[in-house]
Amino acid sequence: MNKPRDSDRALRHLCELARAAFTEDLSASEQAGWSRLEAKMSGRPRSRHPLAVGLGLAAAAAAVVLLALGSHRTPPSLGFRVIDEAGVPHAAPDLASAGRIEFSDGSQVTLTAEARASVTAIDARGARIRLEHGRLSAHFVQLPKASWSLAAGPYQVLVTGTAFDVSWTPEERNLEIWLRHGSVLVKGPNAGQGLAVVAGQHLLASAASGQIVLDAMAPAVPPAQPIAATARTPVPDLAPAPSPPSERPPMRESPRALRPAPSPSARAPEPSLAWPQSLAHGDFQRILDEAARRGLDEVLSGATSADLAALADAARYRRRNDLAQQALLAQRQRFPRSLAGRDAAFFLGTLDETRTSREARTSALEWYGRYLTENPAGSYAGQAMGRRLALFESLHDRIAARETAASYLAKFPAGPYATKARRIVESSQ
Amino acid sequence: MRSETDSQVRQGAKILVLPAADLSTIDDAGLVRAVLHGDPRAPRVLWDRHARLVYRILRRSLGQQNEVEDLVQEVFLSLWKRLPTLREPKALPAFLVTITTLTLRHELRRRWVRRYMTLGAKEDIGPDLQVVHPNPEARQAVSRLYAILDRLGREERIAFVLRYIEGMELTEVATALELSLATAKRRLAHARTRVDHHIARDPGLAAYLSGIDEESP
Repeated sequence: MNKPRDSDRALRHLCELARAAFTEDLSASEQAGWSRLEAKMSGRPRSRHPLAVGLGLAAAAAAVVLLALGSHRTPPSLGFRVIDEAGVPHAAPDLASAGRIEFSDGSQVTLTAEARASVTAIDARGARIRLEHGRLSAHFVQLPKASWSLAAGPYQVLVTGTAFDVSWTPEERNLEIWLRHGSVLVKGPNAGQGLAVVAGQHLLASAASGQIVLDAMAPAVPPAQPIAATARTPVPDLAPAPSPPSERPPMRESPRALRPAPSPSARAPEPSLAWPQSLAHGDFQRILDEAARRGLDEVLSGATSADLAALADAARYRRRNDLAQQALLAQRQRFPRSLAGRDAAFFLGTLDETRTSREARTSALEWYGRYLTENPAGSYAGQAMGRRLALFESLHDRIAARETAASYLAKFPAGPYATKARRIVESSQ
Repeated sequence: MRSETDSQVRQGAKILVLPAADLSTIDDAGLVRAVLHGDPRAPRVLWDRHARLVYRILRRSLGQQNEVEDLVQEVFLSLWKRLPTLREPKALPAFLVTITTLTLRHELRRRWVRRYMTLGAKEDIGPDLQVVHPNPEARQAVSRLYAILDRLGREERIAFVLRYIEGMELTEVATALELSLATAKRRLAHARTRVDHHIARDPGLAAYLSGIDEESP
């Protein structure tokens, strides 16, 4: 370190580290800084009355004394850990392929296979996450002053407490968001000062064409209404349940027969706080506890579609896959025509994929196949087909893998599984 | 809008093609004129265009990724107040950097007073870094660099950050600090000497940097 050349190199390296550490990426609350500034600019000028000045000086003196007595401390930053597909924690803040990022406040981000994301900044109120490609499912706990944001290409998704799926395909520069609970503000090309997306909506934004499409994801859940009100809306859809796939491995078997839904008047009292709302607050355990208190049979046979979906999500987040499976099966049996009922097939497939047995993988294949039959243009169609592709390959079913790969490429030529699909097609030629 | 996304465009979908604000394409000089003429859209466009620069300089100067929001607000409030004094509207970025460095000087002085009043207990600067970096040693190295910057004077620290971390030219540093070029050079030379001195005598940094040196070409 004594030579000038060495000191130059050392300094250059340290300054590069500092540049990388302190970037110009803005958190959600920082993005919203303009609103605060605007409020300050429109505020009245402060009084310059001598008495006010005197009081101000007195207050300043008191503040100095207080500072001398004890130093101010900023709240501690949140913690997080990255857990890969095999359940192994990692120290690095980035994550590739299936796995999850767990934050100390209960927030969680789960990546699908072949996705890649990283935590670029974190503080006491939240974190900034960059989605490089692929799809992730996020659930952010709604705490006071929570500030989360997610960057994907040129887009920024500003989040408070909410649950949503987001995908980014860098090749086509397409952003998609499916809002399950809460709301987000999307900023980016042609989004003006930000585009609000609320629960039940689906957004598709193309940075290439500049077009933004906002449509309904779940017609049964009016986005403009409070979640608590929608959760209490009786869902009359009690058509016969679709028969489950032919084989029924243990994971899919419901341990209890579902009773017919009772009449609304005979239903158990609704919970004090709607479950979708609790889910948005991150109160997963509260949902599970309340379900246990009310009686699982009662819940599975009497809860609304929205509550069943919230229960399934809470159970999945708490790794109660057995309970999640029961809630999803009940959803399909009682609300087969609803979007949640059809989406349940996809989530049942993902639950099966948490186990590694051949039987479980076969079961997952069937659920994904059922989802695609019922929802050929559904929100999870690309993922379902991609997962089928991966599962066929893992089961060494080359013919089915090739056929699925060809179908996938025809429908999603730039989708997240396109590389894998091309490899399979090319290797079979 | 091809591929997977095509299927998502359902019947009755609401298609929004949102035009960009007219002001977003004009240059800084036009933007300044729009602010001064009272165009209600202009301040927001100015914020959108330059807030990141202010955030970045404040973060790199203070060694904090977050907790600089209030200072950014202070910078922009000061900017609105002083904008009528800007003689050359094209020089808006340099003007904003100057206001940012003034705010930084006040903030560093405030922190120095607070540290003095708390009998030397260090706070806010350096040690509380929230650096997200995959390499814990690199994270530690950044922390130690900012601990070294804590030992510099206010102007030396800001000059060092603007020159070596922000990568500004000497003349830009001088303008930002409202110093003559010769004085800015002297400040920088002094800052550089002190930083080099402390880096060389920091055993943790020396060990880390020796590893970097070996790996570097």
